[in-house]
Amino acid sequence: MNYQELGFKSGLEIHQQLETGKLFCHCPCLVNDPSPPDILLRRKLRSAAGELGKTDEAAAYEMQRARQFIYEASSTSSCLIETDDEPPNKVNKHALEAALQAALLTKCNIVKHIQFMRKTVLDGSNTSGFQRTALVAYGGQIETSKGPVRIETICLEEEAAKKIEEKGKEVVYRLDRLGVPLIEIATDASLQDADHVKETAGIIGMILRSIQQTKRGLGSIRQDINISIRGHPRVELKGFQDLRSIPKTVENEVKRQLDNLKEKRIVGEVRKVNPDFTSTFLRPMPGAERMYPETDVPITHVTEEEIKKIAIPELLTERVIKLG
Amino acid sequence: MKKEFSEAQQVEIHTKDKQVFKGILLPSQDSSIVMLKLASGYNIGLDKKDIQQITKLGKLKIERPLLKEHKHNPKLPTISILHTGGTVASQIDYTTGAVSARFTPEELLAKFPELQQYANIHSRLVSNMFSEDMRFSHYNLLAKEIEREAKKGIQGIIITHGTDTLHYTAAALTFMLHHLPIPVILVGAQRSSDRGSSDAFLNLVSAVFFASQTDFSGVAICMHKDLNDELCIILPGLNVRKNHTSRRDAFACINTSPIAEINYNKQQVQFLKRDHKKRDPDANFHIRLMNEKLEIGMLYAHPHMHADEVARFNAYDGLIIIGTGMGHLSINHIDKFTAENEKIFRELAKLARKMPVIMTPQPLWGRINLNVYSTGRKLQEIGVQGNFSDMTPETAFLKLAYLLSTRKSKDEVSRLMDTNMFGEISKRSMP
Repeated sequence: MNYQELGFKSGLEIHQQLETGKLFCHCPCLVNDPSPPDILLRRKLRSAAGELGKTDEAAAYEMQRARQFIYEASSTSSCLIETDDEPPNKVNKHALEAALQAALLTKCNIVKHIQFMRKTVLDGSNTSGFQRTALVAYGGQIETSKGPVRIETICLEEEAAKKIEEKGKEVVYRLDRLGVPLIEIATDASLQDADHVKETAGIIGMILRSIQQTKRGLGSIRQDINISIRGHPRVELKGFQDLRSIPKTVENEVKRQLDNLKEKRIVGEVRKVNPDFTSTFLRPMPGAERMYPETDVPITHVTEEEIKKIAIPELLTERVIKLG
Repeated sequence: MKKEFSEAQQVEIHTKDKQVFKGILLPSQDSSIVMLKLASGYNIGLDKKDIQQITKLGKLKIERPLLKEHKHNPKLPTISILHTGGTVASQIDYTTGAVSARFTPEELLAKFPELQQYANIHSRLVSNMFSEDMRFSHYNLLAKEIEREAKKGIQGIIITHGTDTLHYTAAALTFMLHHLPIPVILVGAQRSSDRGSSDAFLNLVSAVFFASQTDFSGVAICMHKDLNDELCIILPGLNVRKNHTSRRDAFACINTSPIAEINYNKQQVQFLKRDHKKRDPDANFHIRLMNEKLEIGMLYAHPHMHADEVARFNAYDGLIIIGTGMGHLSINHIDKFTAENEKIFRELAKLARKMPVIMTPQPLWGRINLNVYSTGRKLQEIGVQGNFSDMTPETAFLKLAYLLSTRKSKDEVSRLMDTNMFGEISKRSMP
């Protein structure tokens, strides 16, 4: 497959969970809390006025109104902050430090005045109706075998609640994972082919795991891959279990987009990756992101002196070389 | 039909480290920081000293969607919603990220279309403030607004209110609105209404549902029963208190039970008491205003008090003591460490000669009894009142304000303070 000829464009978003304690409270990062849920809540979410935009407001409203969210939580891993009954505490300084370490390791510039935002999410995966997220660094670069890849942004955000099941109009979530800090590293769309995507994901994963407070194990790092070929809008692939599945899945997506172009079925969408390297439709591409400031969290100021004091971790690859 | 525009300044910023940002310039609290909203939606703050150049790119014009005009339905009751602040119908401007409060009927109905099923909605901003800033002047303003609305023959009034002092306002209005012929329901929200999860939604629609569909009259509060978005409770204006800083179910009855429970999703109201005051269009409704010049103090009893804490109320018109246990504070000189207590007692006796001094319970639940311990008996001897009352400190504060505003005779204030007038003091304490 000649990727260059096809006008292949691809970029990565890597999400890494942290082990620092939750981002805005003092709950531990137990993403799979084994204790049985002792808190059960039934909630609804509504859109704030003006959010529905051009869609038929009444219809959209009815749709939302009908959904009932059931939240299960254990008091070992959730407090009133996860249940959206208390404003956020101070931002976890260890999580922020880990994000700034990721910034330095990828030669990013650190935002001097970091503002947490509320990103509106109405599928119930956040009890508040929004995800807290902040852009902490920008404009970095990593080296790959095919030349440098630009790091567009590094964000520090809250992990969402885990969906347990959907029964009719009821959606059940568990709150143990909600609020676990995530570092999100996003590259530009310059990745050249399927192998380059895999290589870059591997390098970013290695960089993230060089930071002490990152979580290990299944699901602790997630890759989202954006792919488009000439004439086809961007498609986002989510849910890779393994780096090794990337090249084959990317190749299949390019083939799918080629078929789409032939059959004039061209839509940008979010797709879920299957174990057999294919993917299935997950949801439409989200519209313009709905963000407004998280006014409960003051702006975090980062001074030059503080940046100088951040310990830059040794990369795992360097450690391996030393040991060898 | 109404169109609204707002404008946002688009800019391109070149930093000294050769980065280029495009976005919308936001107001910044700190003049050394430039706040920018990027196309991705994120806000970042840049140091002015790190910026080489800011180029203005023209203004972005944002048009708000047109709102449907509200038509009167003669078959439905009319409910007036008076706003005193908070953001029940907040609108987020995603271009600048600003959250603004909306108060016209059209704006409210755009957000709460279901309200039209039950009532014609009038909606107006009375004052826009934090509830912690309220003064008696605001109670008077509200009472006059309620009088004006009620005389139009509407079927109910909803007041949106910050939660900090919601129970103070509920108590004040209960004393001030005499023979109220309709329901006046106060509604607040513990979680801001710009978020999808806000309790404002259920609290407001439940309040409108209750006010338009039942025969209840009187002042009450409508808030969440628990942490679920299922049930709201109607709480009596005189026996209610905020008991948590942030939970949705922060408001609860003290020494009594709620009036009713509303299941809005099932369209059900269940009254929880055998009887409640009914609507009465022929009632002789009138309002009594608060004296805006009154000075009434509240003194919180605690260990290691000092006499000057008491003495500073010398020039006040009245004092509420929030006493420990059944109604005590440190007035006994019992050993070499407690000489100060005797001074406290002397200062308190001086105050009690000049003004009403009312004892209320720090434990909130239960009744004052100044007969059981010698401390209580000594307090009675110097004229401290409140014996056998189970009013909350907040309700006692507003009752004293109401009595001092409306009664000339000192004896009458004193007698009425310890007499149940509107349900603020219960006869029997229930197990």
